[in-house]
Amino acid sequence: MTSTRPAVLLVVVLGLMALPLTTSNDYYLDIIVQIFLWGAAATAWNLLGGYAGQFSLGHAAFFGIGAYTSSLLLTGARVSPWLGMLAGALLAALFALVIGYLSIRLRGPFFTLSTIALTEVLQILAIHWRGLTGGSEGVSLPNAASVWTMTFDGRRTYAYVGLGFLLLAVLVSWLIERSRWGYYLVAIREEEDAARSIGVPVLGVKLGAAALSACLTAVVGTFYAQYVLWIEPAHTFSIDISIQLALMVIIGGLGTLLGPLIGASLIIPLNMFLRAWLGAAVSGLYLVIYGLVLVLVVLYARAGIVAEVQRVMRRHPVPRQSPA
Amino acid sequence: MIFVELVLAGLMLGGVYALISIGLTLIFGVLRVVNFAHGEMLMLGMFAAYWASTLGGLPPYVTAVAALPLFALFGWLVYRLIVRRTLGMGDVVQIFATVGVGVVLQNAALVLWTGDFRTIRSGYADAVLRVGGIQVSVPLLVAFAVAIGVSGLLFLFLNRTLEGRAVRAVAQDPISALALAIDTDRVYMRTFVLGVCCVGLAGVLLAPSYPIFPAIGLSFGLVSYVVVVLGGLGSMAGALLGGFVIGLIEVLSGYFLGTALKQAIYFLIFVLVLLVRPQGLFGQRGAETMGFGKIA
Repeated sequence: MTSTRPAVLLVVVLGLMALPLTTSNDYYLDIIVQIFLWGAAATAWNLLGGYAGQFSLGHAAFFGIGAYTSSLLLTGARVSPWLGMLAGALLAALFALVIGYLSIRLRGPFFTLSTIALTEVLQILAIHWRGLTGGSEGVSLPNAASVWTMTFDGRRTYAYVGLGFLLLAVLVSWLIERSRWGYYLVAIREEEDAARSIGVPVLGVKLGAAALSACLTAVVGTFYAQYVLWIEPAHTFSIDISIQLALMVIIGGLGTLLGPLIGASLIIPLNMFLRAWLGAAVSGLYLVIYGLVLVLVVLYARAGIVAEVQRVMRRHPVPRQSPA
Repeated sequence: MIFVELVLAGLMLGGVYALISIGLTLIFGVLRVVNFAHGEMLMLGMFAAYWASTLGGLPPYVTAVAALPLFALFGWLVYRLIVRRTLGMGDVVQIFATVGVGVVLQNAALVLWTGDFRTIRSGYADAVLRVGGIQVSVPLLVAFAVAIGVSGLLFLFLNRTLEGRAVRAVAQDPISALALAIDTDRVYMRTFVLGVCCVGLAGVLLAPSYPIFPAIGLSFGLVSYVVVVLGGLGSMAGALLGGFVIGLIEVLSGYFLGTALKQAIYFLIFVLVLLVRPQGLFGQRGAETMGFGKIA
């Protein structure tokens, strides 16, 4: 694991801050908001999946808990989504602790299976517990721009709020990457038994990573709900969201600080362009391409795009002087 | 009387679940790969039955036999192109390669055949057999009988033939099997093809009883994972028994608690099994964490 240098990080942050100023086209601003939004969620996924090597396909559950908690508090009790966001994050963390305690002793694919099953159950509950969740029709959120309701007029404002959440997620990852705890996570990923034998408190570390990852994912879920202003179980709790997060991180580089953001920056525009280009007539075709990309990346570029590019460049260094 | 009917229906359904799960447990037991695209392969089987019936007028029970070479070819392709490259690799590769295959299959079906719910129009889709006031669905009865038959054949194959012994040898210790001149790659390939054929067959047999649409694989896939974990990973007998248990629970809970929550109940069982007996009913202790097990 090579940590990202502060100077690089500074340049990236400044670049991201300038990005929403480069366009006032709503379509492009939407792409930017979505890159920040999904980049933040993917960074949260990376804490558990990338650093700790616990591959969850159940993060839609945490995303959905965040989205539903703040939305229901807003529509039902007029609670600001900023507070609802905290409630959702807390609930998601609690949920991750309970579920994690049950399933985290499972390794590899069995952990992944249990996370899929868990999300399915939440989706079923969200559909059938109509009194609370509004059932399949979902929840519509009021469209009245104000900071208190985390609803804004222009997409540029959304972009900056989204950037705030992205930077929060990256900052948390950066702090963890440099801490003793971060090394624990990597030790568990690389060799769980060896880590335990040298005294890494495996269960506690895994649970902590799951709770933190769930927390951040739920926060992004709230932001998503306030951006789209409509949530429904079939999408918010779908395995597609979980797969998308994993795909972004795997493409960008598992267990790297900026990998998730790089993955999101590749996948989101690809997704938008393919959808616009292919149109509704062949809905699903872009997901076929997603799936193919996922298979190809895990088979041939496991370390992620960034590392592969670096590897190729190291093997074929760019000549400094043109050969005479 | 209603209770007897429910139990029979549960056992029938359980037989079908067992048939779906046998392929999964076989592949896992030998290749140590969890096939995350299992449900999507089932969906392909259902569509095969649908198109054979709609375009060719073939009843699903003819398709069940006629489509086997197709399933085998498909399984061979997936093994050659993808699964073979994931053997012995880390979790990322093993999990997300088949997850990707599942995404591709489900959405290719969506692109090709749209998301509409389809049903096979045939006289016997809701045919029932009445014996002394007890009703049994004929398609489910057939599926049940085939599930039992296929498990029996697989059991004989694994225990009585040289080929089958080679499969079990590879499941127990691939390195020693290699040292005994067993072509492990071929065994892996054949096992995977066999597993895909089982799940394809299950799809064809389920087609008359369920709506057919691209996303149906997920829920059946999840059921088969629960069955396999309950029965014990890599265990044939476990898959059969796990299938019956889940089938019974689904029918009984559907009747007494309403169909909405039956999947929530699967998960509850899943969690309970993991807490109380993580190796499953027939699995070896530690299989759920280490991935060891013996087949049959």
